[in-house]
Amino acid sequence: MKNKLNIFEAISIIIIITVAQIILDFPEYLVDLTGSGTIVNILFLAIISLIFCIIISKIFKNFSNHDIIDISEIVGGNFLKFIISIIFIVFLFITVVSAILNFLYLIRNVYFPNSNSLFILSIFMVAILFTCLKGFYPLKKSSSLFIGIFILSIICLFFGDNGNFNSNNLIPIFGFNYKTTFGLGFANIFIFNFILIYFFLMPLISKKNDYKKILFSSFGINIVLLLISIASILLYYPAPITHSLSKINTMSTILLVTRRIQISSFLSQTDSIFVFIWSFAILNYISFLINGIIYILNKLFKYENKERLSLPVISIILGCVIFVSRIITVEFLENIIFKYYSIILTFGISFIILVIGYFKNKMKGSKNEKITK
Amino acid sequence: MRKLQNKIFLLISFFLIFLLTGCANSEENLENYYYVMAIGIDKGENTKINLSVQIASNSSGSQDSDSGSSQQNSSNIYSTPCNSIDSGISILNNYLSKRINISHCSAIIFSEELGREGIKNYINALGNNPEIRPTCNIMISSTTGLDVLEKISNSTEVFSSRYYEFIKSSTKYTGYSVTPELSEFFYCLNFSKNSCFASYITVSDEVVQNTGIAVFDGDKFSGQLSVLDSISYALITDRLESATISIKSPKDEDKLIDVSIKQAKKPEIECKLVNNYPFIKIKTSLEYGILSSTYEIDTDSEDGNLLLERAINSYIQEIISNFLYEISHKYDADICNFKNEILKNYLTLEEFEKIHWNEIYKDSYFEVSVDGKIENLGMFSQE
Repeated sequence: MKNKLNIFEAISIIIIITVAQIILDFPEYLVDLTGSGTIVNILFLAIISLIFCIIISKIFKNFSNHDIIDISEIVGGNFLKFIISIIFIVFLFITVVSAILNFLYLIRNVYFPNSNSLFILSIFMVAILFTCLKGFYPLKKSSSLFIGIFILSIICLFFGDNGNFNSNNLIPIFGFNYKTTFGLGFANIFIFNFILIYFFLMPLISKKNDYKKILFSSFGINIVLLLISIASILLYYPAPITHSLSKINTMSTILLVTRRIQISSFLSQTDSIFVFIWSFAILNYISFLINGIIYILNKLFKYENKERLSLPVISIILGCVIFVSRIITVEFLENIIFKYYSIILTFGISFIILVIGYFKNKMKGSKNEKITK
Repeated sequence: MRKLQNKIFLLISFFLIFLLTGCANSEENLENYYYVMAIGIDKGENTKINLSVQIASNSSGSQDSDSGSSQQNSSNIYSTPCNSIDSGISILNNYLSKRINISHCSAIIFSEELGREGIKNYINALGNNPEIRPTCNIMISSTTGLDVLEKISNSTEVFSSRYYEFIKSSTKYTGYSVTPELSEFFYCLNFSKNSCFASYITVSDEVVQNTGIAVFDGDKFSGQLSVLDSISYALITDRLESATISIKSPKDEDKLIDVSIKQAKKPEIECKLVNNYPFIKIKTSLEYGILSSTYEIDTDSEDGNLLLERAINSYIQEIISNFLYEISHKYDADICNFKNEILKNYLTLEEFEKIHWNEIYKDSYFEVSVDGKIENLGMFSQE
């Protein structure tokens, strides 16, 4: 029961995923693709994702103590369970490595331009290691403790620079063209990757009836936060975005937005305050992802003390981070690998397995009914 | 086992407190930095540029002409020939006793000569520098950047950095110039190439003053707009708090009347295409205050009031029209961002691009209407 989530803790953890991805500049990838049409594009994709969520919540009513790994076992036995687990573990590894590298780059830019990356990295990895050694409990507590501040920091992005915003930058409302906003822009659906948690949530929550509430409230809050961050980026520029932002900015766009926020002339260059607050969100996010890897590994191999897995998992991640280390590779990992991997995993593999599992369960149920008759 | 784990955790946390607060690294101390207040960038003789930095200083001292530095009460100025801003800072770091930090830089001043050759490389280098503030001002000097730094350093103002702040804030109540920030200039250069502008600074004798707007064609300085143009710009873009102008008396052209103007409402701008040419309608509502009057006009009577009101309205209408035709027809510079206004008529950028705005903008025609009311006759209506 100690590790089970109540409604507030579950929502907090799901929101932290989106907050962390906003901090890691994922909205820049969205704006790069669809320009000023990103708001319409996200609203359009939100409707599609909402339909997915409704279906997921309906199906999970029948699997009150199962997650997607268990359902894959029902569908295809141990073999499919193993394959799906590996697919998830690889995805989480890629996400963790790119998140750490991205965060490292951000923090070096603001706080430690002259320090050794390995030194900064090891400080954060020690913190993450201790969190993971303690299991899921510190994570859920810290998430629910800080979530208000994280949400406030994202809202501040929008209202902090209100005087300088140019509202004309939200037009043309459909962006570059309709094809990009509604066709090619479909790739932006990757930002709804937080839906993946809904596939794992059921066994983790204390009251199963809360599943639907958690799903829809976290979905709604995440959409609002995403729209705020996108609007902040679009409104920040003095002219409508006509081409790729990443080609002219070497810094994170969200960081650039924070750099403009100033409270009179007394408090300027507030970016360091934001990065300080956000470092907690990123630590939570990374710890959550590593806990996810440990959770799946434990499901697969059933360890006696799963927390002990933290050290080898973190060591492998640290090795990968040191091996990759180039910022250009991070962009490739995030903008290409993570983007399409998360789309395939969230709206493809996981969803298909869930639907098949549902029908298999239903067929099994009707067979049992026939036998009893 | 758990108790041991907790003890190790507490021990590491204890040491991390000292490590993370920077106690181990004395290089990051504030005393080890020189804080730059302004940067001057001029055309170099044998190198591409001549970089000058004005550094805040508490000590007073004498001029040292041999080392190329002049020391004043509140600031020192150092100059070096170099090929880029970053290499210039490295050279300065090499011979200065402390490291240069540009996080408190308030202004970047380019010489007109360098401006005419193009400043994109320097703006891009500064725009991507994590140290510099995006709110830092961009200025073009009629002489050199170094000259401006020296004049400001010699001014009576104790803290030179405040001088730059005053230049910025005074534009709100004088309307004599504009205050484009580094981030604004950087993105204008990359997103809408014909809308870059900076404030223009004239240096004469011992005085440095804002005297209008520096207009750019792409990244190249193409011309200077007057103070009246600057007031017109502020009126159109709703950036004016107040300004003072002098108009000829409607009854005696030899006499001048001083009028303070204030924006009553946000200007209404309507942009549309007529026969494939942009037709831009601007309606601005103003409030006037009469600062000095003449005996010829009885401002207390309705007729006199109306006569004066009409005279001011038509004068402002004329200066705004002149400004608009000058920036569009002469400079082809969309500094008022009419592009954003006409974009409202299109749902996608693809549809908008079909009108080839950058090509047709220079043939725009304007209709300006000024609706101003005298709200304040001053303490004495007649002198």
